[in-house]
Parts: sequence; structure tokens; C-alpha cells
Amino acid sequence: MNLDDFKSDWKQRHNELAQDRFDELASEVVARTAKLEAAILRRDLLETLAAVVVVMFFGVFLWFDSVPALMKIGIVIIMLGVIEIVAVLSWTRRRDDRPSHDAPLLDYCKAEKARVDRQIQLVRNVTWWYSGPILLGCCVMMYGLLSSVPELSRLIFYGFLASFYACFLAAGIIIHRGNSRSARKDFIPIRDELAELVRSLEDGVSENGSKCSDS
Amino acid sequence: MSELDIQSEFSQLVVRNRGRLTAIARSYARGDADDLLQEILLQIWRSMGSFEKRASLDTWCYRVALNTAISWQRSVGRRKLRLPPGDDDVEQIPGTDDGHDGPELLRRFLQTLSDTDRALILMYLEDMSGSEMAEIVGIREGALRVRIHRIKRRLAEWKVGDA
Repeated sequence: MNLDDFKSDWKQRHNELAQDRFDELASEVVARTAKLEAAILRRDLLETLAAVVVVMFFGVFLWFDSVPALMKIGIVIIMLGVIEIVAVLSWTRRRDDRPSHDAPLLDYCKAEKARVDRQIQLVRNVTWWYSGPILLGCCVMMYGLLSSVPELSRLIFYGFLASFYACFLAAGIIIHRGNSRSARKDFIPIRDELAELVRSLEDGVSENGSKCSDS
Repeated sequence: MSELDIQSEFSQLVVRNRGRLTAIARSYARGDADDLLQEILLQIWRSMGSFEKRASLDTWCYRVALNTAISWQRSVGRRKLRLPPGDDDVEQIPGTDDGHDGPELLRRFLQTLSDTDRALILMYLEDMSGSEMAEIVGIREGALRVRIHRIKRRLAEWKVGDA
């Protein structure tokens, strides 16, 4: 087969195929953009609203003098943890916005690879920045709560506390493993494909192109 | 530029490039070509505001389409593209019994190429100049020529059964 023999047929074929649904698809674009932007706005609002509800729910306890100091510290940790999650997600989205689609392919792939690398880091460290502060806050809060009940026997106190911590530790491990698996299965193959694409493009940057002809 | 001007420029741009955009969508998405085409149109529309007139609008449009296609198949189409190409994903072409006409054979050959080589051949088939191709891909013209020559040689040796 000779590539040049196909040029006119190729163009004609795709011009014919473009007649089918092209106009319909093009006319839907503006409406689809509006829908997409509305969905993003809705997601951001929901996230912020959920954080406000959690902060308000726990925040109420801070006003009661009867609530032990240690429990209040736990509550403050949970509240700060929730605020931190919203801040990290929002900052990451702004910083990690997709690379500009009108960049040259090589630059686009490099930017996309850097973005996926940052996502991998974020997912791998989810225990520390997402679930960690909340779990820690809950544990401190529970310790404060149980300490404030003097009539509780030491056995029940430590038994309950140990069970509570064990559950939270298990939750932490499950979350960590789930996210590590997600990074391994979902993100790393994409990063590797992008790295391969960048490498293949950079082969073409070599001065004389000898690498390209050899491979 | 007002929203109305952008809309009118967008319409003219995509109509002028409809064949090229369809070819990219069909070459990178196979069965989901309409979905990819819609995503390409969406990205072109969303990027219209950032066009800086450093390249021609058509070259710019091709660049957006190509980046979108390569990114799209890595997310939405990733699982499907991992399936080995088979007869079922070759769409029947009107007027042919076996779907083995020139452009269809070429499309099958393109499926055997890497993302980068596929992009180069698509641009070559659109009669783009070396400088335009270099601008879109971001590599030197000389290196592009060598790569295209290599792919042409591969095509000459390729048989349908190799797909």
C-alpha cells in the first residue's frame, strides 16, 4: 500500500461521514458547556455545604461549658480537618486544572503527565490529609468524653477506648489500602502511557532523527 | 470579541474542519467516534477564548482536537482500546461488502500505530505542511520527515492480517 494513493479517498470519506451527525453535535456544544459548568458549580457548592454542616454540628459543642476541654480539642481538630479538606480539594483543582488544550502535543503530554503525578501523590497521601485529621479528632474527642465520666470503671474505660481506636485504625488502614490500590490500578498505568508518549515524542526532537529511524 | 462573534467564528471553524475532526475522532475512538467528536467540539468551543492568533485558526483547531483525542482515549476509551482490534469494530462502509476499501484499510493500519505515529499520519493525509505539523506536535520538521518515511515503509509491508 502507498500512503499517497489514499489521500484524496481518505479526505472524501471523512467529509462524507461528517455530514451525518456533525451539525447536530456542533449545535449541542454550547448547551453542553453550560451543563458541564453547572455540574462543576453544583459539586463545589455541595462540598462546601457538607463542610459547613459538619463544622456547625460540631461547633455547637464548643459553646457548652460542661463539655470537657479534651473533647473540645478533638472537636476543633475535626473542624479544622474538614476545612483543610475543602481547602486542599479546591486548591488542587485550581492548580491542577487540565493543561491548555491548544498547546503543542509534546508540551500537552508533559503537562498532563505532571498533573497525573500530582494526583498520584494526592491519592497515596489521602490518609494524612483527608481521613487522618478527622480520625485523630474523633479519637481525642472520645478520650475526652470518656475521661469526663468518673464513675466508669477502668476496665470499661480502656476496653471501650481500645475498641474505638481499633475500629478507627482499621478504617484508616482500609482507606489507605483502597487509595493505594486506586493509585496503582487507575493512575499509574495512565502516567506510564503518558511517559511513553513523551519519550516517543522526544525521540523525534533529536537533531538528526537517527533515533527515530532506528527504532 | 462578543459571545455572538465567538459563536459565529466557532461555527465557521468547525464546518471548515469537519472532515479533519471526524477523521481524528474515528481514528482515536473507533466505536465511540461520536462521543469523542462531541468532546473535541466542546474543547474547541471552551478554548476559543484563549486563541492568540500565533498560529492559523485551523492549525490551532487541529492541535486542540488532537490533544483532546489523545487525552480522551486515556480516560473514557481506555478500557475499550485495550481490546484487540477485531472485525466487529470495523464499521461497514456503504457500497462495500467487506469493509476492505482503501480508507478502511488505512484506518485499520492506523490502529496498529502508536498515538504519536497515528497523529503524524493523520496530518500527512490532510496534506499539512512540515512546519504546520511541527507546530502541532512540537518536534522538529526533520525528525517528522524521518518518522513519516519509516511509517510509510511499514505500511508498504503491512498486510490486513497484521492488524
